[in-house]
This record gives sequence, C-alpha cells and structure tokens, in this order.
Amino acid sequence: MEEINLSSFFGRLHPALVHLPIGILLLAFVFELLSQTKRYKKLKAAVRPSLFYGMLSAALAAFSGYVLSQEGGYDDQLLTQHKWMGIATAGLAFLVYLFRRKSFALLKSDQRKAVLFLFFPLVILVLITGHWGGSLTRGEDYLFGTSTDDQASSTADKISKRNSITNVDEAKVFSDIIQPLLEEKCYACHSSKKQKGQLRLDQVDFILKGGKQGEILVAGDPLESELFKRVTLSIEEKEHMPPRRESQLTSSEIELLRWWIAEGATFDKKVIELTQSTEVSAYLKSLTSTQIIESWVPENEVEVADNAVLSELRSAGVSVAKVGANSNYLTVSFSGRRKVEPRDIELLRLLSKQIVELNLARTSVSDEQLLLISELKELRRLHLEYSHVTDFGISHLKACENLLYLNLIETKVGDEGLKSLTEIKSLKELYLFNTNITKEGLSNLNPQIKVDTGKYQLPFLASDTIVFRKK
Amino acid sequence: MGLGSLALGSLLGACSTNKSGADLMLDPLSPRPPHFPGKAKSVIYLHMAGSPSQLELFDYKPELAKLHNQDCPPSLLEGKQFAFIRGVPKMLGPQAIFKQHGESRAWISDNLPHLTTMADEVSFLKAVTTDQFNHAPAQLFMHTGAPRLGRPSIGSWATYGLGSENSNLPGFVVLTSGGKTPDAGKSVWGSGFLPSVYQGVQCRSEGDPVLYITDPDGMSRDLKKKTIEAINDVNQQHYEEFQDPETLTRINQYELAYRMQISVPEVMNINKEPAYVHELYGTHPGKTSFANNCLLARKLVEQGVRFVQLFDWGWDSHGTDSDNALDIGFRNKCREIDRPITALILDLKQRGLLDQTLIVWGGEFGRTPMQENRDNKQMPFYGRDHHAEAFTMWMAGGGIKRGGSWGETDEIGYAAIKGKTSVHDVQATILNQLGFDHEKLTYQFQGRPFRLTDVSGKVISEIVA
Repeated sequence: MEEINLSSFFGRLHPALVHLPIGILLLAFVFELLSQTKRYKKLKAAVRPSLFYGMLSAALAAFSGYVLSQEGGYDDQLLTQHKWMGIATAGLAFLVYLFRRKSFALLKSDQRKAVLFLFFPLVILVLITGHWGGSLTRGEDYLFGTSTDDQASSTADKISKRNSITNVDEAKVFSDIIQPLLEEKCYACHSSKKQKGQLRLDQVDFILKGGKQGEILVAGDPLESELFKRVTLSIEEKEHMPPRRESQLTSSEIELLRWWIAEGATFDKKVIELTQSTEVSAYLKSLTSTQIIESWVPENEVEVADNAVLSELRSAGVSVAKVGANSNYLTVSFSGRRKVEPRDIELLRLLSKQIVELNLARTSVSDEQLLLISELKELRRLHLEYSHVTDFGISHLKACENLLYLNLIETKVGDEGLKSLTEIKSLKELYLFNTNITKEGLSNLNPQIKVDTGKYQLPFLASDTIVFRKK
Repeated sequence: MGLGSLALGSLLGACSTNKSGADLMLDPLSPRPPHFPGKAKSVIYLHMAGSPSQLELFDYKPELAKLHNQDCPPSLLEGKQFAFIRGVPKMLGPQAIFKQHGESRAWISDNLPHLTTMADEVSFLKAVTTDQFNHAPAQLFMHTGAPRLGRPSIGSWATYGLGSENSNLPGFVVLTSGGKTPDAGKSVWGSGFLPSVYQGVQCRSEGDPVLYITDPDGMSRDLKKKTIEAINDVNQQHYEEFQDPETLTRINQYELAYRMQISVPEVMNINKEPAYVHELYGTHPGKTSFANNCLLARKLVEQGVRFVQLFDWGWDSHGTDSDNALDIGFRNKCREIDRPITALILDLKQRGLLDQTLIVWGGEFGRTPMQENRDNKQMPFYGRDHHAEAFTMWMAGGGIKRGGSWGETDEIGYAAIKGKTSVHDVQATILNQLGFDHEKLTYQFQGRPFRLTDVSGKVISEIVA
C-alpha cells in the first residue's frame, strides 16, 4: 500500500545521473582541446553535440540533486555549497553551449577566446562540484583520509560492545551503556564512515574535540551540552538529532545520556561510582533484563512463494498473506472455511518453505492431514483450537522442529498427545484450556514452556451487583 | 521542492497508485501484509464515551485530597478555557480509595476491584493529552486523527492495510452500549475518503446483529442467492464493458453480504456459550450490554475480525445529577465494565489470543481536578469538567509491555509533567503493534497522501514489549 513517490525516486537517481555531465562535459573539453591540433581537426564537429548532451545531463543532475536535497539528512553547509556549484555548473554549461552553437569558424577571434576562457572554469566547476558531492556522501576526508583499517577495528569493537550486561553495577557507564547507544543511533553519520558537521562520536578524543561548532559536552551540565541539546530539541527543529527520518533516541536513552553528562561525562567510571536517581536505576535495570520478545519470524530470507499456488488457495477461500511486506514468509488462515480438503493440504505443502503460521481453528482437519502438515518445516505457530484432532494426530507434530506456539484449546487432546509434544524442543507456548489433559500429564512437560490451561474464574464481589443510588 | 518535480511526482505517482488501487479494488478485503510482522493481529478498542475520570480510577493524587474544597488557584485558570467551568471553581479530592496492585505496584482505585488483579497485564499511559475539550471533536480526533469530519477511522485504516482474514465476516466491527451512540456519530467508525468497504460494520447485540440480515417473509435463501447471482451477472457484464473497478467492489459487497447471512448470526450468538463463560463475563444474553459486547469482541477476534470497536456511553461525569455523579452514577458505570473487561483479558489469555490481540482502553479526554461549577453555580453532586491536558489510557496484550506505565502528571493531576503522549502517539503505537509504520500507511486523496497520524505521532516505545 505504500505510495511510490516518484519525485523522490527521481531524486535518488541523482548519484547515478551526476556521472553523465562529469563524463560528457570533460569529454567535450578534451574534444575542444584536441580539435585545435591538425591531426584531430575533425573532432570539432563533435564538440557541439557533446556540449549539448553535457549541458542537458548537467541540468538533469542539478534538478535531481535539488529534489534529493529536500529529503534532508546532509550537512547543511556542504549541501548548500554543492547545490549552488551544481546549479552554476549547469548554468555555465548552458552558456558555453550558447557560444558554441554557431560553428567555431564563424566566431570572431575574441569570441573564440571567450569560449575557451569559459571552458576552463566549467571544467573546474565540474571537478569541485563532484568533489563536494563525494564529501557529502562519503565524508569530508574521503579523498585524503586514512585507510579503512579503523573501520575493521570498529567491527571488532562492535562485537565486544554488544556483549550483554550481566551486572549493571560493574558495567562501565561510557563503554557499556552510552557508547552502544551512540553506535546505534549516531554512528551512521558521525563516525569513520561519515562526519556530518565534522563530528565523530566513535572515539573518546573525537567526542571531546566536538564538531564544527565546537565542543559538544559540558561535563556536569547536560543543558549546556550540545550533544544533549540536539537530541532533546523538538523533532520539528532542523537542528534536532538524529534527523527526523532516522531512528530516534527513546526517552530512557535520553535520560541515560542526561545522567551520564550530569555526572561528569566521564569515560572510565563504573555505574556504581555514580549516583543514580530511582528513574535512572530503573532504566539501568531494564538493560540487563532479557525480556525482549524476539520476533518469531525467521530472520533469514526465503524465496518468494509460487504465485499460482497462492492464488489457488485464495480462490478456495483460504487467507494467505506475507507476514510483513519485508518478508516472504507466509501466514495462512482457514478462518473463512470449515472443511479442509485434500487439495488444500497439497497446496500448503508446496509452500512448506514459506509457511510460518497456520490457523486451522474450527476446521475439519484430520489426524492424517496433520501428518502431512507436520512436513511444513518452517512452521512456528499452529492453531488447532476447536478442531477434531486427537492424541494420534498430535503425535505427528513432533516433526515440526521449529514450532514455538501451539493452540489446542477445546480439543480432545489428552496426556498421551502431550507426551509426544515433549519431543518438540523449540516449543515455547502451549494452550490447553478445555482439553483432556491432567495435572500428571502436564508434569512431563519442560518447565520452560509457558503452559496455559485456563479455567480462569472471577470471584463474585458485592460491586458486581450493587447499584449505587442517590441517598 | 520545485513545482516541476511536484508535477512529475503526482503525474507518475498517480500511475502507480492506479495500478495497486485496481488490484485492491478487485478484492478490497483480501488479506495483505503489514509493513513488518506485527505483534498484534487484531485490536479490541474499548472506548468509554463521555470520558471517565482518571482521578477516580488510575491517577492517584493524595495532594489533591488535601486541597479538597479550596478555591482553585488563578494560575490554573488564567488563559484556559473549559467546557463548563466558569469563574473560580473549588478543587475536588479523589472520590475513590486507591491502592497499589501487582508486582508493578500500579495504582488502581476501588472502583475497579476486578481489574486490580490485572495490574501486571496492562501498560498505563498516564499523561495522554488531546487538544479538544468537547466530546464530538475529541472522539473524532481520537479515532480519525483529526477533530473534524472526513477522515477515516483507525479501524478503517487497519482493514485498509491488512484486509480481512475471514472472508465471511467484515474486517471492522462496531458494538455500542450504554444507550447512546457516541456524540460524534457514525463518523468515528467511518471510512472517510477510503473506499467505503473499510468502514466499521455496526452490529447490534439484540435482535438481528446486522439489520436486514434475516430473509424477509416469502424470500427464501435460495431465491436470494439467485437474485444476487443475477445482479452480479449484470454487474459483471457492466464491468467487462466499462472496466470500472468500483463495479467489482459492488459485486464483492453483494457476495460478502450473502456470506455474512450465514456467518454473522452464528458468531454474534452468545446464547450457546457455556455457563462458565457467562459467569466469567457476567453476561445476560438478549440484552444490550457492555459485558455482552466484550464477549462478542472475543468471539469476533477468534474468527479473524481485525478491529472490534466498542463504545460504551455514559461516562460524562459532570455531577449535574445522580446519574453522572462521581460517587453514584460513575461508580455504577465502573461496575458495568469492571468484570467484563477483566474477563475479556483472562478469556483471551486462556484461549492463547492475548499476545496477538491488542486491547486499548480510554476515553476521548480526561476530567479536571476541579469540581464542576456550571454557570458558576455549585453542582448538586460531585462531578468534574472536561479536561484535555492529561488523562489515562491503558493497553494490554498485542505485544504491549506487561505491568508497564509511562507518563506522569503533576501532584494534582492537572497537566503532564513527564512522558507526555499525544493522541497521534497512541494511534502510531496501535498501528505499530499491527505491523505498520504510521508514516507510511497512506492514502492518496485530493492530491496528497493522507495518514491517520497527520504529520505527527511517535510510537510510544516505553510501553512496547
């Protein structure tokens, strides 16, 4: 449903388009020079068309660059320079072309000089604009900067930094808490890769040095520290960091940053050495918890499902959709159907690489069909609630080695079936409300599995029936 | 951006929209993927129309009790406008007893005794703000992202984005209770400029769930089927001749309506539910009640309905008479929702659906810490005026943090001082749980892409698990 925005697409062609005027205009210049010699006199005829196309491509490049610049996220000053240089290049190319429209021979001698005189600045403009364009995307010290080995070391750093914190008190405030935060939210533009605003945040000396506007930290005073000011500015402000479209700092991250600066913005202290407010300690505590629910969708990619199979299933009233637009894995639901036909199962098996979720609740799915379904190796979530499956059918599921979630509520499944489920090592959630499963059956299960047998009841309270009236 | 590029964008953009638009038109409710795998598959939105007082339910302010019956300081009144408060009102202390509950130590008042046991299941948003202090615009703002008519409601956006999982049921169902529909009327579940297939289908919990769903006398089901087939044949010919995708929508609608005749009465029938279910929810079949609607919501979500919108009217506690007094009528309203909502959470949990069903609870704004003094007169009962600056909402299930809380109000509950969230933030969060980037779920209308959260909104990551 995402609207494809073609104007921004055109803007993004800029990095490709810019190479045309660079090449063509330089070529026109070479032709012009060469045509002065006897040997290449014939090249004179090529100057005009190459100038024309060079001018045209310069105009296109300038225009697309302008569109791209509207997306933001670049160093403002550098962008302005590059923008006006680009426009000037296109303008000058047009001017040179105007002069050069008439055959060179028809020009008066001072006009010939003028053309050559204009050609030189054009070439210089092309080069400068190109260089600034490069600086914008690759960082200002790209051309003469150091080699990439600090990038290699930063990858190694990354691995060490990602080490989870086991004991908050002993954790280093900067390297274990603040640096990973900066890495995640700021490094994309302020590290060895790019130095927007001439600021790098990937090493202590760079952080202390600050950016184009000077130092970014005032130890003990977050409100005076540019680093803190920028992240807390209203997102509408141009100066707000990270830029609007990038992933923003969460409130707890901002609070931790504030705390670090307020406590002196030190680079070697441990958490326990700094005073914590109750909030900060709560945020710190949350860093250790591994409560993060990992996405149940496999991370690796899979090939796109066969469209013919999808449309046959859909026309049979089965709901099939990708789990997300960014993934080829499928979620399949029979909630609009009652009966599961042999053909349905055949089709499902053709999608065995893609199906991660299958909803067969309230259907006629049989024990034999479950045997075939158990061959869906990628299956993570299976809904069989209100179906007629028995212990025998369930026993086939042990082949589903990736199964995380199984819903068996309101089925006839009993302890026998449950026993076979113990073989599914991946199982994390099991719903067994209104089944024939007993307490003993449950005791066989791995205690890691979250089991819900339901039967929740609410006590009757006076407030359930009392009606308050005017005294 | 230059005019040229704008023109170019809309010219080329229009082509691309028409292409995907045509596909959508062929089967507007076909299931579609969200932007990324969402934690929630469905939403049950419990809207307490009229707006319950956060100060008697979740936002405990002992300081306000000390100020009870004192004149409101001018600093709270200067430059402010209230719906009914005039002159200098008195402060009104909390009209409930608060205790902390669960491991999360959440403050919940004795007005909701059952819900106190769910303290560790929900995440509170204690400093939600809105910019509307009248019911209709505030409800529109809460559900459509704009306080004026014409925008699609959040349920419409969800079905537009995800389609419907169950081809026999509408993707977006609305159930009302409390004797009145919301002040903003049906626009709060309207589809605005989205195709009308995405509007909420209002079901009644008494009589026919959908009007005219039973066959009239003398019209058998077979005859009806033939009629629809004949109409659709004519429509199909019409489509082949003119290729208007709207004709396909029409065909689709007839077919869905026919299928709904079978599926809707079944799913909307709570008579067949076992006794323990009725006990759990406190439901009484055959009556229109919030409890019945909660049970229906669970049944609909079980069958693949994307968005179930409940409206319960009667929360506008001004204190003008006993029905809307904080210590009388308001407590009766609390009693009506306390058991059903707790039951809904528990029931979804035992059916393995809570983690994939997002429950949202809230009103359209909050209530003032001051006692209402309509026309500058003392009210006969305890009541509070509309208040836009701070109120409480909560969410549960659907990938929301368990036992969480975000936001804080000042010591009398007048304004947000920390973790302030806006209506658009709440909407962005709901869409996020369904797997949508709220900035990318757009619809081209009148020459520009529109979205639910207009030009603002930020996912409240503090309550996302």
